Parts: sequence; C-alpha cells; structure tokens
Amino acid sequence: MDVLNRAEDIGEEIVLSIDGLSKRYYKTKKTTFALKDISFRVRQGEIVGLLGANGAGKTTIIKCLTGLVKYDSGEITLNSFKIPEQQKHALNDVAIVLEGNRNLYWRLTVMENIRYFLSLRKMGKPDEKSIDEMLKRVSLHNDKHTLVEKLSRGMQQKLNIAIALLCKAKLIILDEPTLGLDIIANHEIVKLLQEIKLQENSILVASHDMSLIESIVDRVVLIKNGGMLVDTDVKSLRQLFTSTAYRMCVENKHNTTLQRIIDDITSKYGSIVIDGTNENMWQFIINIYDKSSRENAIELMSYFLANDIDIEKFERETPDFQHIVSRLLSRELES
Amino acid sequence: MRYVRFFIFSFYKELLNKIRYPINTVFGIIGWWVIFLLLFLGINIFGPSLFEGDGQVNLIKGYILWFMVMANLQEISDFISEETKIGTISFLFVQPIGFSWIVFAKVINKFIIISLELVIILFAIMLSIDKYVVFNKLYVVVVLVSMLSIWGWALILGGY
Repeated sequence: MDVLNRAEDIGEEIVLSIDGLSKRYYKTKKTTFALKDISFRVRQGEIVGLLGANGAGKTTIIKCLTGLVKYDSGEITLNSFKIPEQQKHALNDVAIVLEGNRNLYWRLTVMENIRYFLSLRKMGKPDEKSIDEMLKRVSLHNDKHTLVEKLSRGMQQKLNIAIALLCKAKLIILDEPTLGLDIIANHEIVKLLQEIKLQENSILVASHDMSLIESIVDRVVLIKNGGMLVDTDVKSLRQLFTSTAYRMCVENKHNTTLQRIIDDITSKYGSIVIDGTNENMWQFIINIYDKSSRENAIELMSYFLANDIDIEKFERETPDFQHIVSRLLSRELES
Repeated sequence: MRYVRFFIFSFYKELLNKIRYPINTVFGIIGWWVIFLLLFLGINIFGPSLFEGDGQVNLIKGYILWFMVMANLQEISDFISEETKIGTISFLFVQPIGFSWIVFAKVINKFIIISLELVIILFAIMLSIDKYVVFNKLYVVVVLVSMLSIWGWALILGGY
C-alpha cells in the first residue's frame, strides 16, 4: 500500500472505521483481489471522497460497509457497531444513495417515495413541514405529486439526496452521485452537496468525478486496482505537487530542429516531462525537488537560450486536481 | 412503531399499484373469472356427472384453493425478481428496518390484496353459475396453512 500522507487520528468522534479490508472474488483457476488491505476513517462532520478509476473498488468498499457484500478479512466499524454482525443497528444512523436508478420506485410519486423510504427508518412520523422545506431546497416542490418515472435523471438524483437528508443520519454514503447526469444536472448536484457540506453530517462519497470530489471533500482516499494509494486531505495533495512542479513553455519556431532537441532533453533529464505541444508552443513539466533537478532546469534554460529558442513562460505549476489524480493513478510519481 | 408504520405504508403501496393501473387489475380479475367459466363449461360438456351432488360447490372450493396458490406463488416470486430487476432490492437490503421484515410485510400485504381480489372473483363466479358457497372455518384454516408453504416456495422461486 502506497500511502503518501496518512491522516492521523485526532481523537474526534469516528463515524466509520475500516481496517485492513480485503475482498477476493474466486473464479475458476483464478482469484481476483477486489480490495487489498484498505484502511481509513471518517470522522463526525468530515466529508471523505473515495476516488478511483472505474473498477478500482470504490463500490465494493461501499457494498462491504453496508453489508451487501461479505468481505474476507479486516474490520468495519460503523457508528460503533461491527459490520456485518450488527448491521441493522449500524445502519440506523446511515443514509445511503446507491449508484444508478435503484433507490426509487418509478411508479410512485415523489411524496410517496419519500414517505415509503422514511417509514423504513427508526424515526418518528415524518414532519410534513420539513419534507416541504427539503423539496423546496432541491427544487422539487412543484413536482411532489409527479410520478418518479416522469422526472429527469438529475431530478431523481436530487430526490435521492433529499431522502438521505431527511433521514437525519450521522453518515450519508453516496455512490457515484453524478453518474450519467448532464452538465446542468451535474452542476445542480454539486451545488446541493456543497450546501450539505455546511451541515454536520459526515459524508462518504465514492466517485470518479474529480470536479465533484475537489469541490466538496475535506479528505480524499485514492483507490487503484483495489489497493489504497493515498489517504490525505486535498490541500496536502495539492501542496505535494505544488512544491516540485514547474511549467515551461517554449516557442515552437524551429519544428525540425526542436524535435531533435526534445529527444535530447528527455533522454538527458529524467525529471522533465513533455506535457503537450501545439503549433506554436512546446510545454514541459519540470520537477525541481533537489539540487540536481534544479541544476537540470537551469541547464535546460541555458540550452534553449543557446539554441535561440525563446522561453515564453516559466512558472510554478498550479496543480489541477484532475491532473494530480491522473498522475497518481498512472504511478508517475510512485516514489 | 416503525414496523407498523412500514407495514401500513407497504400495504398502501400495493393498493396504489392496483388502483393506479386499473386495466391490469381489472383484466387480472376477469382472467381468473373466465378461466373458471371455461372449466365449468368444459365439465358441463364433457363430464356433467361430476356436478352431481356437491360437485359444483367442490369445484368452486377447489378453484379458490388453486387461485390462492397460483396468485400467491406468482405475486410473491414476482416481487423479489421485480425488485432485483429494477435494482431496488439492494437498497431495501441496506435499510435499518431489516430486509426480513420488509419481505414479511410485503408477503402479508400481497396476501391481503389477493384475498380482496378473491372476494370479487368468488362473487362473480357464484353469480355467474347461480351457486352459492358457504365456507366453514376448517376450510379457511386449510387455505391459510397451505399458504405458508406456498410463500416459502414463492420466495425460493423469486431467489430470496
């Protein structure tokens, strides 16, 4: 398990604790590891993002911690109850929005769905006023008597989240909340989740939508091929990359000779990566993390100047979250 | 209290499905009535001697038992496979009330709805052949007990 910066336990109330979770699927002659030694915690009021490519194991983690799938080894404690032994008690304070369209009855109206799913919870009779307020908040108050099958995918997802919020659970688990949504619906869901962030609920959100994760989470757990790559807060992740990466752009006016120069550079300087090119510009990512790499960067600039190639830009890279994650997942910065 | 509330709302949901899709409901009832009439007609043509004595009453009683078996088997196994097909079964499984109670409430509610349909079918049958049946308590107990095993079979067939 590669852990860049493992967040320390700071003694706050832990809502969810996963320790050494492993899950294997047995096929004929072959055993596939779906999860390998996953460990992380979610504290009260914290928003944790489970991030990874499709098939990385995010949904399997959610299935394990909700008791939908039995795991092979490890320990899951949810609201101080063990999963799966005390699943019923543990789920009393958890609201779950599963991936896709499987959280609603399409032949019931918005209100009927709300009443039905709230009747499954350990709570008093749902208060009509708070339901109305919630429907206004998610802009569904004009559709409360509309059949769910007539709602758009985005509206259905808003309804799922509204039901989860009405449960007043300590922990809300969201599995791919923006999956299959168009840009507008995606934006609305992100906005809604940003509003939820201001409340005291803890949220565990699994997604491969990096803009969603970046905009709402406090901490990110990066999963790759069933293993845990990173468990850190978004700020630290950014800092880790900010400290070393510089972007250099040079003018592309000597097409023929520049290609040769580029080949020379990439073979000579390992810490320099060609990040892209267009008709006018070559871009390099230069990691300056020690004396030798700094000398490489200076040498490279001298090289360009000596070859009459103009340096248009040399600046510290402001890391785009998507870029960071892509680089982590591609194991570019494994060390 | 939430168990009772869920039970009531689950019944309301079953009822809504019947009311909201009246054509399905009405044609379902008509279908069972027509099947009985065909049986009745067939026996009248090919074996009228079977109707001697209490023959017609016994036919109605047997048909009711058969209806209850088939309707429960179909409705309950369909409920599990339907929830699996649309995906809501996973969501029901992660509800704190417990999946067993959800299934229990659904089974009982479906049985109540089927029994209500049975009353309509029974009256339609009795009016059509002008033969009226009085059920004794033992017969009702036999039907109820046989339903227990049918529910078990239906749940197995549905994949529970």
